Amino acid sequence: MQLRQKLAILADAAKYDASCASSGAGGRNSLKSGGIGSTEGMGICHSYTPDGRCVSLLKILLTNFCIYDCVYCVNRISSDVPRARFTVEEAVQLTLDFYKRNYIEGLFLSSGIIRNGDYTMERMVEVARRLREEHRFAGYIHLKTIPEASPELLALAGRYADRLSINIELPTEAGLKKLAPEKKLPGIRAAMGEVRTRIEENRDARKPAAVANAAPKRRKPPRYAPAGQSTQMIVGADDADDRSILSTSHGLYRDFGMRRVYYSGFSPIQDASALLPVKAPPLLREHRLYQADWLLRFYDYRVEEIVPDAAGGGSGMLDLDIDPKLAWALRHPDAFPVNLDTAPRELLLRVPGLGVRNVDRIIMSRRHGRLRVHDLARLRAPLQKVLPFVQLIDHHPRRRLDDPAVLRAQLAPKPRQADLFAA
Amino acid sequence: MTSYRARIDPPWSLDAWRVAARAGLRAGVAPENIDWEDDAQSALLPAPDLSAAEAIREAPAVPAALFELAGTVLCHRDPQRQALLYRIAWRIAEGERHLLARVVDPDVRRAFELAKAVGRDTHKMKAFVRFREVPGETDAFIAWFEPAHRIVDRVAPFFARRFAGMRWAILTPDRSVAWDGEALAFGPGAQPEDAPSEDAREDLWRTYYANIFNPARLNPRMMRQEMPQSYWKHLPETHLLPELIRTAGERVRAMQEREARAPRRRVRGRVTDDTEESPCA
Repeated sequence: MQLRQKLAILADAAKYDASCASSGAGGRNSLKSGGIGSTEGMGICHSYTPDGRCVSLLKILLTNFCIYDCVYCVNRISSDVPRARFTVEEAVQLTLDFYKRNYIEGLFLSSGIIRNGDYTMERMVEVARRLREEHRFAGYIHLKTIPEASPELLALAGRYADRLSINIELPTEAGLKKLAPEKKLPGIRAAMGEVRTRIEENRDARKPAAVANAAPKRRKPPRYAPAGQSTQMIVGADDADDRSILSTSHGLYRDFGMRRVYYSGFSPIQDASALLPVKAPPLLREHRLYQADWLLRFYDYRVEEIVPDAAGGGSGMLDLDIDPKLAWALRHPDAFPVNLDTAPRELLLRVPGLGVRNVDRIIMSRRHGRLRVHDLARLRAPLQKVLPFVQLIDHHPRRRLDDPAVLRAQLAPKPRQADLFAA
Repeated sequence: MTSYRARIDPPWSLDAWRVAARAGLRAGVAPENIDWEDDAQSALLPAPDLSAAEAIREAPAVPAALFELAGTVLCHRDPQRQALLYRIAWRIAEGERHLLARVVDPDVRRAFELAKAVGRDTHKMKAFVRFREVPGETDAFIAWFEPAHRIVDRVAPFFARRFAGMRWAILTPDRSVAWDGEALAFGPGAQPEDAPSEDAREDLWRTYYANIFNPARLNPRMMRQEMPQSYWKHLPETHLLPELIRTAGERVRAMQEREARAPRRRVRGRVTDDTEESPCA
């Protein structure tokens, strides 16, 4: 089979992996080694495909042959798709060729399971090893880890990769049993726990104090997965609601120190199983989950606040027509208006339309005088959304907060826009 | 009050602007009395050069943050950028010591806007430069690129750190830079024809691009926002866009129609291509 055909098949098979992150590997370059590659904190998107997604990494499967039969997966053993397999050397050369032309930040390598977990993982680790050791490649490497692989391979994987990921796949154990019968939640969680432990031990061992106290002349141990670990959850393939999805995410962040939980809206695949829903969930649902995830991590919201349970009058689902922060504000009109001149940071963060950046700008500039509406306009804050919830020297929302239903109708985007997303 | 003219060469040079601004501040020349010349345009009336202005005071203290901001803003092609920066420096020197923290001030706001535009262009250049291999040489590459602002000097060290082990050059209409594996060398502008017109790997790259795209999630508006059309001419993959967008709906429909078929239980046959070993063994 031609390389081009293989690439077509194995890129196509990888497109359901949502992550394109290439950040967090720390500063590294090839000036001293004379190799190629660098990572400088922020990742770079080298292109965008017409689905609006960033192309940052060469995202491929080493092979799409797979012994598993996860029904949501296009590569499951019972799926009638063309199969291909890269040799280790082909994957290495492709990465180098693309990198040298500045098409990519690095490699995101995943694989179907062939023979067994260890065999597959060993091939993937070998790609990363050759890039690092034989080609002095200092670009970004993300390895999708196979939970059943042995601890020795997991240790090697983190030695060469910047990021490791193990997919949680589905929000609940029941969903996993039904849709991915060969995958086991305890094994997935154990592997995530092991990665976390290794990352933390490595961080401690590399601290200057630890190295100084150790035997003289001992060098720092090599880094282990400096960009941390992440995971991915499929949304809309089972009947888990947004509340249970976000609770699972919250647990993953807390228990395993995840850098990111990715949400991948279930996408129609060829030869789909009858166990799957007929229609894909609206892309907007995935978008709302990412917004809610952000509120959990950077805005100090609790899951119960974002998706109230039945007792709190909620359906367990995020609103699709408005974002979760606005939804919370409309459920709590008594918390507003927030006085922008005096409110503490945590209250400013609850104002719809104000992001972390603008909140910090407001705090900075209010040291030099009181804010007015035109100051907010200069910060490019969405006034229509912000003004009903804030008080300034020249503005007060008056009675607009009295009737949240009316306010909601004013602020929700027109339905036509929602249709665009649902397409 | 005498008027002066100031000329910064090269026009993005922080050092040159700094020398001129310092002379102006020391001589107490108000912003409205300096004509900052940019490129071809020059003053209608002859005026003495700012460096000739007589110093009447010590150089006022100006925060380091201003120079950092100025280094970025000077790369912008806005002809007013030097005057804007001087006005900010002047206001700081005249007592508005915390001016830069007043992000709602129109001058500060404008300077940050220009800096942001330069920052964005810098980021896009790091992203969208596409090297082509020089035929007949190993690990030698040339790229043609047209940045919106004068950022070649600013971005070049990034490419040196990243592609240290290659020899490469980036050519733009008004400046070029080359790396020989050890040092950067800057030179004059060039022509698109000075770069190779093709690269054998571009075909593979297009294959990757076409296949990593999920037609079920078509969202070209989002794509255009992040990958402005002005950069498309540099990107080999964008030639595929009309076709990919046009056929997306068709591909999704075809996939959905196949759903009705009962899937086969096992993968048919064994691998027959040049794989290392049979994966299903």
